[in-house]
Amino acid sequence: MSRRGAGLILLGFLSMPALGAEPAPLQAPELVNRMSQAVRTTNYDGVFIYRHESQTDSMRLIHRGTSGAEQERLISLTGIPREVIRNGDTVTCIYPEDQAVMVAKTKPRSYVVQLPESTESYAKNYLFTLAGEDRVAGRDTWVVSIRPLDVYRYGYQMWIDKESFLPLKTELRSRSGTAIEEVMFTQIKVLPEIPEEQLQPGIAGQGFTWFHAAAAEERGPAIGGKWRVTWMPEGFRISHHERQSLVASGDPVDHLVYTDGVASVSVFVERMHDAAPQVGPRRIGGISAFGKLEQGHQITAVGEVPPATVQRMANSVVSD
Amino acid sequence: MNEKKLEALSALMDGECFDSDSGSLHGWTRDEGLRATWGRYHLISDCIRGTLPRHMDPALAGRIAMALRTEPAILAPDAVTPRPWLKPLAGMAIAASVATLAVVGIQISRTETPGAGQDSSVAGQLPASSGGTGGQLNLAAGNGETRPIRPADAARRADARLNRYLINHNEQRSNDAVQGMPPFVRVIVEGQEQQQ
Repeated sequence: MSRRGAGLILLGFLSMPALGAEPAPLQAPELVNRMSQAVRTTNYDGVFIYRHESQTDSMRLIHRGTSGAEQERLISLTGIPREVIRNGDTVTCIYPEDQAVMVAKTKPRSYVVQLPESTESYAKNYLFTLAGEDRVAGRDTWVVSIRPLDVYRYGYQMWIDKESFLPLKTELRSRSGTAIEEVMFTQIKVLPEIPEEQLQPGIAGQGFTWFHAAAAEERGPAIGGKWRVTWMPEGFRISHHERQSLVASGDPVDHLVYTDGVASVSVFVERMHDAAPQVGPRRIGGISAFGKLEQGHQITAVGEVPPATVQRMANSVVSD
Repeated sequence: MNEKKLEALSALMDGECFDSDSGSLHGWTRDEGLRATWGRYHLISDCIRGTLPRHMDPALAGRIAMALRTEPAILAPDAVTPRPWLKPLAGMAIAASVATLAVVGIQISRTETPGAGQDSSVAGQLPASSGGTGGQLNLAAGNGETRPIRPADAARRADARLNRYLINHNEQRSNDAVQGMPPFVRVIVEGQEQQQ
């Protein structure tokens, strides 16, 4: 057989990767569900690169998910050696260049994240496919592709470890398939135990200044509140509405979350007390944001969606 | 200018020991002729080694010397400027986002660890390299003086507000939607933000 012939056969084989290879145990949506669960409930220690725009950074992530509250430690290996440590609902960020430590309380993450139960709800808006197999960080992976079916969403390509179901590589992709952000592990270990000291900061913090959120934010459900988003892409629904009482101003911030099961957009509404409104579009890696002023309130939509989506959603906010 | 001085000058150029009999270096620097000779020696040396620059300004040294002479003496030490909290104001820094998250809008207290300096000394006194000074940061620390912080300016407030939104969004999205990037990746990187 000629070399070219062999190449063509190989090409054909790669375009139908599941054929003749080990069959995937699960369909693409189930693999994504397993992945979302594994990323929280597994102990692992790995080094990954994070690529966005033209910048590449390297980080180490140590995660403990099997005993007690979820804990993780993220260490920047390039540039300034910043660290972020999560212990349950407490997130501590260490900024050596500012000699500062930030402590913030967050809501504990739920352990199980599922795609919407009805396949229909996301099948209308995304195409989930098992795109093949690949190796990442020396491990065998399933490659799952999530492609958006309209212009209001981004997609993902995920390389999911066959053994642990951890996402060893994740790309946020535009509709045309261009990678906007990428995380790729270059090495990772799944471990039975993570020693406590591995989750402690490696930074000597003598003399650092500490910043605490003085009071826990009071959150309460306020569904049916004053503010509403009147336009959102098909398949989005409100999943969450909370009102955070901000002690300093006495005014609440409304936080409305809309999701289609894959993407998520937050809309924040806050009364303006200063002359520093955030108006217009912003972009942070794969995140788009759009701000506007409405009746003396700052309205900001934020999400991993194209800029047009947050802009339209922010512009559609009305008060009842 | 005597022979001995020229010999000493030549020796000095060759990296040999300075001959103390030829007078102090300080004295030499005041001797216009010796300075010119010193300059010519270097010119010759550069020429022989082929390291002459394409363009030369023979009067440069003189102009610098003149400028230094006319520069008023500064007797006061430089003021220590505290490092701005969020340096990249022009393009808000997501890297510093959690910092601001805590700082703006919400009531914040500032707690200094025992032994920490005042505001103005923050920039100067800490080991810049954080990596391996041995000790560990005690996450349970922070029982000191507290006082509210006021953000410095409007742009900072606006960026800080957006940063706080990003954190809240990241947290919430990980409960509602497909797990995308590790949640704090965007918090830790430097200078990735851009304004459209």
